[in-house]
Parts: sequence; structure tokens; C-alpha cells
Amino acid sequence: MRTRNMRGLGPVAAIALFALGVGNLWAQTSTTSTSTMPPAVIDENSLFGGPNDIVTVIDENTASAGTVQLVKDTKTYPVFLISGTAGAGLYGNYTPVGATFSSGQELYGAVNLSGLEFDYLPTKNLHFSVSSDLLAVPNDILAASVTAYADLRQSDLVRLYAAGSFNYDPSSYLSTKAYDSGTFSLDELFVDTQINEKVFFRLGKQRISWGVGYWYKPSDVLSLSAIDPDDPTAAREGPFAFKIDMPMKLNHLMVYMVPPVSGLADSSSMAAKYDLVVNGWELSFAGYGRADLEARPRAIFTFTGAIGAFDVYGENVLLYGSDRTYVRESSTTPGTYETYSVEDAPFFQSTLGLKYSVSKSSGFSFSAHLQGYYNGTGYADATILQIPDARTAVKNSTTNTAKQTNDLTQTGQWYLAGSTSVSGRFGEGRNLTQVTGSVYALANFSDGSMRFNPQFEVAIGDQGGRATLTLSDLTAIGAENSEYAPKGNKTTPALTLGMLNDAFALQVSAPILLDTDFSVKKVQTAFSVFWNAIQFD
Amino acid sequence: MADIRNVKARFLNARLTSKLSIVLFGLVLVFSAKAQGGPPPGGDHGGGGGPMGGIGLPLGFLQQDKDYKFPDDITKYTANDFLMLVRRTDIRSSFYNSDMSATISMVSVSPDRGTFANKEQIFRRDKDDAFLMLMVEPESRKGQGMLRVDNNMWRYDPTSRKFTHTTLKDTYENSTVTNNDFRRWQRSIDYSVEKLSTGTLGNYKVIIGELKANNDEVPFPYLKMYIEADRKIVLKVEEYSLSMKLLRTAYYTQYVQIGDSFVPTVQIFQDGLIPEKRSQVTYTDISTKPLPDYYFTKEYLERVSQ
Repeated sequence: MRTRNMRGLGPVAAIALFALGVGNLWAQTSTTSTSTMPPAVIDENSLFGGPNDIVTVIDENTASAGTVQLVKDTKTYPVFLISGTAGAGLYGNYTPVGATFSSGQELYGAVNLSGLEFDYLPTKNLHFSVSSDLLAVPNDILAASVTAYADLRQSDLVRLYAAGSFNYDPSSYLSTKAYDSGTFSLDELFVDTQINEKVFFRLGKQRISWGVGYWYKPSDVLSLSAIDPDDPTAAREGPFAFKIDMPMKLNHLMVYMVPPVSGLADSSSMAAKYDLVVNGWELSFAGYGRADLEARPRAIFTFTGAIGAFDVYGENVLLYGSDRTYVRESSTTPGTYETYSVEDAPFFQSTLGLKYSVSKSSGFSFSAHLQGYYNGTGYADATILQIPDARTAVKNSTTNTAKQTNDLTQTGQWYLAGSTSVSGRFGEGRNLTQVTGSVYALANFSDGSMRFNPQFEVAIGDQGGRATLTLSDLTAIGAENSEYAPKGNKTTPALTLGMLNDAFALQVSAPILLDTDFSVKKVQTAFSVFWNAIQFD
Repeated sequence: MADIRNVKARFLNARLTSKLSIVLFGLVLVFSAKAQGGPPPGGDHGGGGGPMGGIGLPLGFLQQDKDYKFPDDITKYTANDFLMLVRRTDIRSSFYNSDMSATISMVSVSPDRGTFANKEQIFRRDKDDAFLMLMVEPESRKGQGMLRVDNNMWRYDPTSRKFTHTTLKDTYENSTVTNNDFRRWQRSIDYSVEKLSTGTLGNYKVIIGELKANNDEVPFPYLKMYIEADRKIVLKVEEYSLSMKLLRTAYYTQYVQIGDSFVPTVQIFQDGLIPEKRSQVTYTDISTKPLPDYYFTKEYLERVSQ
């Protein structure tokens, strides 16, 4: 358990807990107007039998001249709000099989903050927010995540926005990504402005999410980080760019100019996209180019719409040359690896997705989602990247860490991903029970790796408010250093139980490392049990 | 040499696959065009430029309703009369001659989940079948929103800066309210009349119609509607499952009338499965002031978000 380098954050945790205590005193309590609350008991004679008519006539000229207030509901500033949960309990881990000297065999008292958010609005147009997740034991912080933003508006369309984050999560307790050491990042810093409400500008570092795919988005050329396969919708880092947007009703023309990233003028790039909405379909035509051709020029076409009961989407990218640095075994010195690039051949990337869902008034629901991806810039046989020396050769080919990551991500040519979910509802009242079975799976056919996560959930009470039991088993199958099983064969059965609106939360997981013949190599267990005594709504 | 041959073979393979992908993609587009093809929206002149052009209502829908003569005695209503009455309520809930904007408060009370309060702003341009919703409260979700124009519907997540398509059938905020409740009602098209009776709700005499869905796109296969005949406004709707289990009861307890349009400004939803669970939607302010065109664009949704 690598937590030693986080001891310096102990005071931060103490301050956070102090702020929590003080914030509890300051927090604005909910002031929902009684006239907007649903009645405690439905009495039709009371609802429709009052002395006043249920219809209020408003003069047309009055309504068209401005806003007519129907219920007194005026917000007063400053506003200070807290939401999220805080709890305390036990956290521990144990390695019954394959333990080494460094394996943890521990039991701690622990504090857990989950989605704890502080919002401060001194005026209507100024908003400061800090949210945090934290898992701390007496002498260490096991995982911490803090995000903060400031939204400073002059008007709806003109503002300064800044957002940053800190993440530390070496064993992925709080996220699906591992942050081995504390990492600060400036997520966004931009200015929004406009001309005559016709042309809109966003200038600065910003997240840009191109593409309509879910697990694979080859057209998302401006994002700087890869899609997390276990959390495909998570926010991704974007570039410093100038965006010009010209909406034409539902159609849009967007132009992005990315200023030089290396201090050299020819490292600048430009991208443009036109969204066309026609007959229930959204079609996007885009192009991208970078002056120094470090990233290859490409033409993009994406579409999304429906065919019958199916939602359909697709992305198609045509590149001239590949961005990727490839590796192969040296023909002159066998056992060593050399890198090369391909700059004078066309490449094609294409993905197609289908979604279907049905929901019945009986409570039965079913959904399915399938996405296939052909990645022309990938290796037909990506197993070469499972050789450590080959990976090292790729990493040593550049000092650009983002490029290193991209060269070792989505390395295959053929991918398939999908998910499905079936849910049923039983009983009523306090015993209302929702049972859901679901699974998602991803496969890289070019390196023979895959991962899947079946999940079974029983939720009792309204939205599982009384109790929710979830069983899951995230499993990765493939050779070490493969895309979807980077640590080799591994399966992680897990159980979570939340009771009384998650006031009581139990988590148990047992990551099992398997050998290539699927015999058990190492078994770890981790568990936590928390009483989330503080819940801010 | 062998490596070079392998690389060349790989590129050849890539090119062949590229061509195959293009052919497959072309087929998808052709099927897409066929699937979405169809007659232009209705209208006397064959085009879609009329006031209802955006939502593809049956030919003569408005004209037929405008001239329809309802019985003076509510006990003499026929199934067709009631269907026309439902049509009238559908049309009168819309603003075809102006834009409409409002702030909506929604409070949900659940025995297990406690009390949750949301607030949103909505912007409607019914003549274009355009609808924009922006979350105002809670602060942690401010800026999330949804834009619908015709059958194009987008949701926006300000965290990832991503727009996604969604459907009108989605449950709204994990409550008993569906997105369809914020759309102009089209029950007169989606349902047929099974049975009629009369009764009273408090001070008001109502016609009670039992309706059955004629397609499976609607969230509830059976409805029981209580309509006040004088002003032709809906006071209560019971929504049933296929097995006639009462799933939800909606009460429309306050209206505002602006011109010929009626807006239910207080709506109470009683869950049928959990007796202690209910929610109330309240319009806290309303306006028919003209809205800028850019309100009904994805760009605006992105701008006003966090």
C-alpha cells in the first residue's frame, strides 16, 4: 500500500474535517416554500373544493411584457451550501494467498467523505465550488480527490470559468484510474464571449468532446487523454484552444484554433466541424490539420439518429499518415526493437454503434448497446506490445508523455464492446423491489484481451432507499501488458451493501490474480464498513 | 524484407478493410434514409410551414377541432366528443402565437429517500415544437439541461462537455414524472376512448373518460382522465399498467389562462406503488415574452451551463 508520500496531506484532511464541522453551522438549511411542497395527504375535496377558482387569468399584454410571479420564491444572496456525505468506520485488507513482505494485512479505523461539496455564491453571477472525496486512516490518506471551479459571469453569455483538480488514488479506491502520486491539474480555464448573439467564442483551456461513440471515439481528435474503458463518460482533458461557434438554428459551424504547444509556430493546429440536423439525424462533417504534421491531417464524418426502434451512431475518420509510433523487432539485431512511423499512406477508422431499450409500465425494462470499431492505425497483431522491451522502445521514442500514452492505447485494429441490462420490479409500498442484471464487456481482437463486468443488483424500497445489494465481478482476461488485461488475468468479485438510504455502507472485494492457465496466483481482500452519519442534501 | 512485406500486407489489409467499411457505411446511410423517409409534415398546402408543422399532427387536426360543436349536456358526450375534448385540452395547453418561459419548482417526497427539491427554467416555442430546459437548483447540478426540437433531443453534461441524445420516455429525475409531462400533450392521438361517465371533483363537474393506448410509445397503456367540460381543462389523470395496476395519479390543481392557452401551474403526482411517495411541480413564474432564437440552440445550452 503506497501511502507514505501522502502523509503531508494529513493537515489538509484535518482542515477539510474542520471545515466540515464549521460548514455544518453555516450551511444554509433547505428553505423549500410550503406552497411548492406536495400535500401530506391527498384530499380531492381540498384540492378542488376551495373558495377560489383554480384558474387565474393573466392579461396577455402583461405576460408578454415581462415575467409574472406566481409564487413568492426569491433567492437571497450570499448563499452557502453543503451537500454530500461523511462517515466513519473500518477499512482493512488481507492477502490470504500469495502474500509477500509488502502485502498489506491491516485493519484501520477510517473516515470517508463522499461527494462532499461546498458551494458559495456571493451574488447571482458568481459561483465558487469545491467538492471532495476522501478515504483516510489514522496516519495516512489512502485516496483523495478534490475538484474546484469558479464560474464568474458578466451575463449568460460572457464569463470567466476556471476548474482544477487534485487526485491521489494509487489503488483505485475512489476511481477507475490509478493516480500513483498526488496529481494537480488545471482542467479548464477559459473566457466565454460573443458578438451580437450570433458568433460565440470560447478562449482558453477547455474540454472538447467530439464524436458520438461511447467506448470508442476516433473523431475525438482534440481531447488529450484516452477514454477510461470502465468509465467511458468521465471528463477528459482538453487543449488550450480558441473556439468560434456559429449556430444556425440547430445546425452549427465550429472552428477550433489550437495555438502552438511547443513554442514553435508550426506546432499549431486547426479543426472545424459542421453539424447538420436533417430529418431526425445529426450529421457532422469535420476536418483537422496541424502545421508540423506531428498529428496527421484527417477528414471526419459522424452521424447519429434512429432506424426503427434502434438508436444508431457512427464515426468515420480518414487520415493521411498515422500519428502512431510503431514498433517492430529489429531485422539486423534480433531480440531488440526499433520504432518507425508511416506518414505517406491513407488510414481509415470507423465505428458503428446500436442501442435499443424498452421499458414497460409493469416495471420490466431491457436495454442493449453494441459498438464495433475498426482502427486502421492500430496493429493487426498488437501482441508485440506485450513485450516489455518493445513497449520501452515506444516510450523512448518521445519525451511527450501524452504521445507515449496514445502510442500504447487502442493499439489494435478490431474492437467490440457492448452492454446489456434487464430489470424487473416486484411488490409495492415499502417492499417495492427492483432486481437488475447487467453486464458490459470490451474486447480487443488484435491482442486477444478482454474485460467484462457482470453485475446483479437488488434494490428494496424507493430507489433502493431501504437496502441495495450489488454483486459484481470485474474480470480481465489476456496476457500481461495487453490492452484490457494489463496485469494479466484478474478477476475481482465484489459485494456492496447500502442500507437506510446508504447511511450504512459495506464494501467487500477480493481481487484474484490468475496465472496464464487460470490457476490462482494471488488473492487479496479489501473491505470497508462505514456509518455515513452526516448526509447533506 | 519479411518485415517490410508484413508491413505492406498490413497496409493492404487496412485499405481493403477501409473499402469494405465504406461500403458498409454507405448501406447504413441508405437504410437510414429509407427508414426516416416519409411524407412531409401535414398542412393544407402539403408543406410543413403551418403552425403545427413541427410535430406532424394528422391532416386537419386544428381545423377540425376549431369548428367542433360539443354537446351542452356533459351526460350526452360520445366517445368521439370526448376525444375531441382531449384534443382541445392538448391544443389549449400550447402557445402557438408566442414563446413561453417559466421557472418550475419540483419537490419530491419519498419515504425512503426523503425530500428533494429541484428548480428549472423552461423555454418553449411551440410553433417550432422547440423546448429547452435548464437546471437551476440544486447548485451541484446547475447547468445540466435538455434541448428538444421536433424529434431531436439532446441532454448536456457540463462536466464532460458532452451532448447526448435521449428519449422522451425517460423518467425525469428518478421521480414519477416523465419527460413527456413537459411536452405538449398528444393524448388525443395516442389513445382511444373506451368508456365515459360523469362525476364531480370538489367544486367541479367533470367528464371521466377511460382511454386505451393505440401504440406502445406512451408510458402508460391505460388512462382515466377527469376533464372539466366548461373550460375544457384536465383536473386529474390516473395512469395504469397493462394489468390495470394504478401506477400514478396526477392532479392539476391550479391553472393560469393567458389568451386562449391554459397552463397547469400546480401539478401533484401521487405514486401508485408507494403511497407515501408524491411530488409537486409548481410554476413559480411565467412569461410569454419573445425569446431570442439562440435560446433553442445547443450553443446556448452549453453557454449557460457550469
